[in-house]
Amino acid sequence: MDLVLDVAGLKKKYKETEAVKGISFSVKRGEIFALIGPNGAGKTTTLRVISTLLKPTSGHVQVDGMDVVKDAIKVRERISYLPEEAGAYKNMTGAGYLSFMASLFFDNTEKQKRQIKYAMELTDLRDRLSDKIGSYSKGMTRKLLIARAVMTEPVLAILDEPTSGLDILNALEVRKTIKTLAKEGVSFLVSSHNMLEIEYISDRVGIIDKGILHITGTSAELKEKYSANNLEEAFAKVVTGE
Amino acid sequence: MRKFSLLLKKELRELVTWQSVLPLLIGVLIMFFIGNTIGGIAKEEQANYGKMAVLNEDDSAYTKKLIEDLGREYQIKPLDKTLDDAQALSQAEKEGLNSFIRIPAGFGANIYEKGLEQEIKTVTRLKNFSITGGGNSGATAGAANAIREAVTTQMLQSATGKDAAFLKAPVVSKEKIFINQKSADVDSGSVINAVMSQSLFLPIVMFIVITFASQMIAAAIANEKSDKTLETLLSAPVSRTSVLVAKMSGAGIVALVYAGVYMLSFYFYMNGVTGGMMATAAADSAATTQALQTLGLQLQAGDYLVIGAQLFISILIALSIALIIGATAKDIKAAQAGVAPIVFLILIPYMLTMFTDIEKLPFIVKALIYILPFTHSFTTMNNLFLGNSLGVALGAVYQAVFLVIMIGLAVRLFNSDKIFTLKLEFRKKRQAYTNGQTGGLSAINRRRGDRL
Repeated sequence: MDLVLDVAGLKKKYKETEAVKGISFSVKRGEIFALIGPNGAGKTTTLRVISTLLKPTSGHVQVDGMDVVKDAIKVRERISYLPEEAGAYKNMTGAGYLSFMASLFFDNTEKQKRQIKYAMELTDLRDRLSDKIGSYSKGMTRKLLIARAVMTEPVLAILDEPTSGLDILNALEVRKTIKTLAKEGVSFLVSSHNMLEIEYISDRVGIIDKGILHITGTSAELKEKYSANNLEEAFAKVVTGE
Repeated sequence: MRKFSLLLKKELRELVTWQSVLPLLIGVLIMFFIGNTIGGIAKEEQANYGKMAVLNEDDSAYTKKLIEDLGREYQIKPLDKTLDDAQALSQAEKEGLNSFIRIPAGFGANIYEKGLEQEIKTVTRLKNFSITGGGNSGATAGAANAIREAVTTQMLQSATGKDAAFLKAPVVSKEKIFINQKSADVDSGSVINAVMSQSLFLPIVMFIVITFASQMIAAAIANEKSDKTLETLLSAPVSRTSVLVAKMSGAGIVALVYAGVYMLSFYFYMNGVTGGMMATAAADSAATTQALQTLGLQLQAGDYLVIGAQLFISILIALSIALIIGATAKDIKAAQAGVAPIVFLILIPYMLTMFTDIEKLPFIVKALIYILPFTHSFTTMNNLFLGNSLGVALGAVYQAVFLVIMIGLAVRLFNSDKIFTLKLEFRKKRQAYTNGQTGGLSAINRRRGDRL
């Protein structure tokens, strides 16, 4: 089994509040794993620990065999993180932003150019890439950020609510992109409120609530286990305990 | 190093925008414009200063002689003696003057022959109430004084037969100033004025730049945090400390450029304002300059280097405090509210050094003032003038230690979870307008479910 993410007994405490209470899960190469749960369930905290932004209180997290605390810089070379409702530098142009981020990841100029070209095509923003990001719509900014997230050839792309705030067509496009890239071998860890989206894109799902990861499995497995018509019903049954 | 220079460039690009540069350029232009306008008015007033209008109703030889003597100092414009005050003012105004002196008929004979007190009248039209609103009324009043002085001198001389100048001022005072062991024969007022004119710009520029730079970096970091670009950046393969140092350096460079531009605009302003008056002051200032040299009160290149270095340290201290506040603030508004008190930390030593001698304050107050790191930048110039090298060195060391501590705190904050988890308000919290809204909606749904 080719694991790119291994989370074991992860706990994260903020003063007295335990946001994540010892969760364990893993993501395989080329897999799309979705973490779903209500607000305050611990999804974003988990993603931030995996992204090396927060330090775990206990447990261990490994990305591509590297520890997120001890080998933080090496882990950052292997991941890309897209926070929920993230923005980009408004005074930069779209092309300038891609170039800036590419040069943080790659020392080789030829490689930088190749990856920037790839990301530019992925955004489908064409001429608008030479405009300042401040003039972009929410959808355009999100497309740019998704392209940036995969431009760096991550082993694991961590996307927090990737389609949050997008209209139907833009959201559909983003989902298609994620699926296509996963087929090419990029692994995804996605968090979302949108159960339809999760059912459509994810290979496996983990339901988290109050810091506890209740269950993981494919959508079909979860629906069968909870005798639910869809993932939304299965989720409600897990969270309410009914 | 390559990544640091990328981060630094990015910071500069974010900080130097039309929105930030335009107010600066407008400010410089306004200073230049105001300076030149005031200077132009001052020059015009000065050109008129030597002129005066006289309406002489007295034909006596005494008065003619007085006006003749006055003509050596002033360019006299005689007015038609048949005119009333309003008409005479109109005639003076045609000469570009807004006031005149009226000498009444019988003035000379009444004083010199009958010994009767006489009155000369100055008539002025005020058109506005600004500093320069008096126009040449000052010159006219000066001329009226000169007439009174001349009459007094003549009367004293004829009454006593002695030198009237001696009789009016038999005792002459002279001042000698000591600065440490050096001394010079010069009056203290001139020395204080000369030293103040050398050190006038710096505290003002420092105050403006530190206030501006603190707001700039606090807003920048708070913006980056709320836009979540900071999360994106810190999850990239760059060290957090290099991100922090790039931010500080970017803001420091911008602040230094702003300081330079402000210094230049103040120079334009002062040059414009004082340009017209410099010529008259030149004769006096030559003696004062000599005295300043003797007293060692002129700053050398090395002194300016020390002042510049301490200004930069002060800017960096303010930036590190503002960075910590911005990084822990909930949003931009909270960051700006949090940074606002820094202004007072600068304002207090600025005002105190301008109006009082800190050394004479009670010990507790003095200690509190010296704890403020910015105080030492304000006292440096005074210490340099007084040759207090120990004071300069201690101030610089204290500032450097303070800066290291603040940067250490900022590095610690940047390398901890708190950079993402702290969301301080720095202002009064508003009353939550609903409580448990979700609970309320759930309750409604549950009730509906019950009914169904």
